[in-house]
Amino acid sequence: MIDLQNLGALIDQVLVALSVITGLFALNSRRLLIVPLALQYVLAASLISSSIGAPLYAIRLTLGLATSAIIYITASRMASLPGHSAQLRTATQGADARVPQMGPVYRLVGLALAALLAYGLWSGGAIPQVTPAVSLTALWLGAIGACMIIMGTDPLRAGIGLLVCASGFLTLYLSVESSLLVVALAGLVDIIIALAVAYISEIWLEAAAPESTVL
Amino acid sequence: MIYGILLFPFAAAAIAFALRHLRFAAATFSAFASLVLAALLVLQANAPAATLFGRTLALSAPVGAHLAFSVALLAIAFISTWPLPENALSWMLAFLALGFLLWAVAIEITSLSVLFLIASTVFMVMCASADSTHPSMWSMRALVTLVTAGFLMLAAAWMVERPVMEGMTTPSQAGPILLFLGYWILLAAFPFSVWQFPAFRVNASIPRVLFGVILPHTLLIQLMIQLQGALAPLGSLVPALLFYSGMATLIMGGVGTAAQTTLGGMLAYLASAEMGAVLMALGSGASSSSALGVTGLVHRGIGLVAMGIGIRTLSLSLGNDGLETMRGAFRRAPVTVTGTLLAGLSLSGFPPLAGFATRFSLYRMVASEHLPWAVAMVITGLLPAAALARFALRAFQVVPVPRSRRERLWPAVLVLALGSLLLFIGIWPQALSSLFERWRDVLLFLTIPD
Repeated sequence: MIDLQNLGALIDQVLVALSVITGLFALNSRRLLIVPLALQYVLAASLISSSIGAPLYAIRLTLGLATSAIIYITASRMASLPGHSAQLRTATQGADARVPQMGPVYRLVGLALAALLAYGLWSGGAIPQVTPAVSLTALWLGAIGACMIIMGTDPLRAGIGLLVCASGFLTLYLSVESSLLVVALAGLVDIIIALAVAYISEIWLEAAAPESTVL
Repeated sequence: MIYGILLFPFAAAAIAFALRHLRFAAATFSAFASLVLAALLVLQANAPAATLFGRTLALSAPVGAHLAFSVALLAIAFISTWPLPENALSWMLAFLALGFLLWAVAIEITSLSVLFLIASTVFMVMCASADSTHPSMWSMRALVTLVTAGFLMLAAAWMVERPVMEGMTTPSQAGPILLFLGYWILLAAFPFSVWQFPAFRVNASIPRVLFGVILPHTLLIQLMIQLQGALAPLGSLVPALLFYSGMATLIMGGVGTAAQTTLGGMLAYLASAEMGAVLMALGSGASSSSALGVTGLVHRGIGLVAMGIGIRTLSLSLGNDGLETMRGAFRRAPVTVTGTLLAGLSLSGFPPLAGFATRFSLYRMVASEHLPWAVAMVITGLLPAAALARFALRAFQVVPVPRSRRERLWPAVLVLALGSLLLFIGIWPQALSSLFERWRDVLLFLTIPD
């Protein structure tokens, strides 16, 4: 069991940051999801900065922000396509429309439950060689990422969930394995996953558009 | 030389991207580049290892030979895209996937190898999703599955490469288990087959070769090599798991093939069933198990490419790949129908085609131990043949085929050539031995501990 009283202010700060990030992920606007995505990259990189050193911290942060930028560009393109109005919106949010309960409140409740599960797991026992703040962040991000994948009704939202989940895992991994090559490759994998999410989202939208037009 | 091989696919990807709007040029260049890469992989067999940032880079002869074989099959898929158009980015994405895969097999540090493998599989998913014609979440789900499997392997690599963790006196036992689980998921063996089926249903040849030939070939060879290393603590558990999951995959593939209403769906389950047969052979523990498994893998690769191109040709000629659309197909596409049937029958293990040898050996092996299981396997092995008979009955009907056009000759000839090769190997298995004896030995060189 982790003795919460002795862990100090850092855990409180991490808990507040993670709660804010979790709340922001429940937002409806896909473009605004960039904010919690970038925030969690900053938080995760900051927590492992002492084990990977300043230069690798800068690399990790830059790659995280680049990943967020890729997702932002895709979300903006989805919103600004020429036919973006009723028809494309129906195509993009068709699944949401069929399940009207899955709005921001539903997402917030789902994410909060996932976060609680992560907190429960974290307080149940320590992960060897990993600081409590890093293990809490990793478990929390992994849980809410998995929750977003499950609840995602379009590739972009599910893809952001995958990126968050990956960030949680890589935070844990890089805190114990911090060679330059591994950090650089992990960042490259993050970027490639973000590119895949962007690409799949655009393909999905292109394929969905004619169907919505027919409807 | 090894740096040249490892950087070659990235250069080819850049050129393929530049040529993407010139289909003939891009297809021809991609096929030529793949053949050059295959030749380089064979020629470097005894090249010395290189060092990069203190990490050893090497491609052993068997790995090089298997990759060369897979890349040669990819070249055939590339050349078929000249008359059978696919997404303009497919060539580039395939080269990028190949490039990262080469790095994954060349680098000897497992954690780095896994990171390259994740990157490679992500590009494969992008390649498959490029040809989606209807909105589907499959690509994202496959991406999630593959990345999760990769992270499992990454965690395993860390446990294996750091044998004694702080506070522990013995190496973690979870490492080899997680590593094998990652391989199991990526190989799409039962019960993890579901993520792969839609990749075969996408009506495009390049993703079928990436997911059906290049990825499983590479993973199985890596798995067999790691049986002597990282997976050694699992001992005889790995062959047993391979055998039983292979049997389940074989039975599921056979039943699934019979239930399909499209040729793409049939190919997906046929390929899965044949992968089950290969896994059974590799895990059987018999003296000839690795040779039998690898032979099955080679025959499966040829059959899968032939049937994949055949389905693509038939879809273009008749409108789609639904079984009902195939009524009278032989009149419009006689060469393709013949080649596709030969390839399909080989994949289903029908005599006298090449795939029969592996299946017959497996049936005998299982029958000597558990007769009821062997009977179940034979029955499920007959189901794909029955499904192909349904296709043949429709194709040979003499009925008008409205809104259809003649088959494209070039891919049809490719399909028939590959199908005939499978028939030839099946009838006369020793025919090619004298010609390719050295390469046959290299291909079958890998061994699996009993």
